[in-house]
Amino acid sequence: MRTTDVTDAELAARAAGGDGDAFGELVVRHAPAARRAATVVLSSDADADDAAQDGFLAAWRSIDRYDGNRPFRPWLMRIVVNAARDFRRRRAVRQTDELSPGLASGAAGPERSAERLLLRERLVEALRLLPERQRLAVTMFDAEGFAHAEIAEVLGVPEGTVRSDVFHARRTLRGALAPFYEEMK
Amino acid sequence: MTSPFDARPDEAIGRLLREHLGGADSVVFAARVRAAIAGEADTAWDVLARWARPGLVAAAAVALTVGLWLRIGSGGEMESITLADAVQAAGVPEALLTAPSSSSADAVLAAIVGDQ
Repeated sequence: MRTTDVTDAELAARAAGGDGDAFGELVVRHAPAARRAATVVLSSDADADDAAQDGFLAAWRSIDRYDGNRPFRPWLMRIVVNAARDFRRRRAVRQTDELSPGLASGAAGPERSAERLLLRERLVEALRLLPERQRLAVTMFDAEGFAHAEIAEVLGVPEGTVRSDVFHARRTLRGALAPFYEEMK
Repeated sequence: MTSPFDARPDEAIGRLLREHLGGADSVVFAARVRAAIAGEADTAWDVLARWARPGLVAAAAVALTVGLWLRIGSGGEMESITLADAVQAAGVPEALLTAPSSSSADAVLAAIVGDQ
């Protein structure tokens, strides 16, 4: 059976039995979303990767407490978001908690087009305008496809608050990215 | 334009966030996480190893202390035992001990059988 045919809950059950390969498959599946969530909480890709790794390690340690009858992604994402927030608290003496402009230029190579760089910079600037909870809500909803109820579970807020956060975040992003938004659609 | 109130994901914003946020290679990242998990397991063994040696030393110290305490508790009544006393208590034939030269196998057997 291919690993892609195996559900998250089945992999988690195997991981709880000590199967590191099963947990590795869960990491591969959910790393992109986890790293994006950590990125919108923290200020750099490198810090986000460290925090996401902390989150996965915490998930590995507590995998036996995961309820297989519930969706895996929100359970994992809550751990990752908490890990990113803990990381930010530990780092607080060094930097502020805002998304830094360094994120815009950090991964850009010379091959990237000027327009792409500009778009990334605009996106980072726009995200900096948003409170952390709105950044997380809009990223999980629009980029990851989480349901409002799942995001509410991750962030520990009512579902209506999530809807409001997504609404306000979209309005800000669309305004800041107006020159690009119509092309992107 | 899509309404901000839409219950469906905004594909344009979603695509933008996916393309520009987060690292690139999930397989490399997963390998890094797995290495960290393996390192954590090593650390647990290291902790056990660190505890093992002091534990053995402590156990030996306790055994020595208890032995010394028992010895002192016996009030020095234990007498020193010589090799001859021990041999005699074990029932070794006297001929084997007093023979001027090393005994042959026949002499040893004869002494043992005769002692039975």
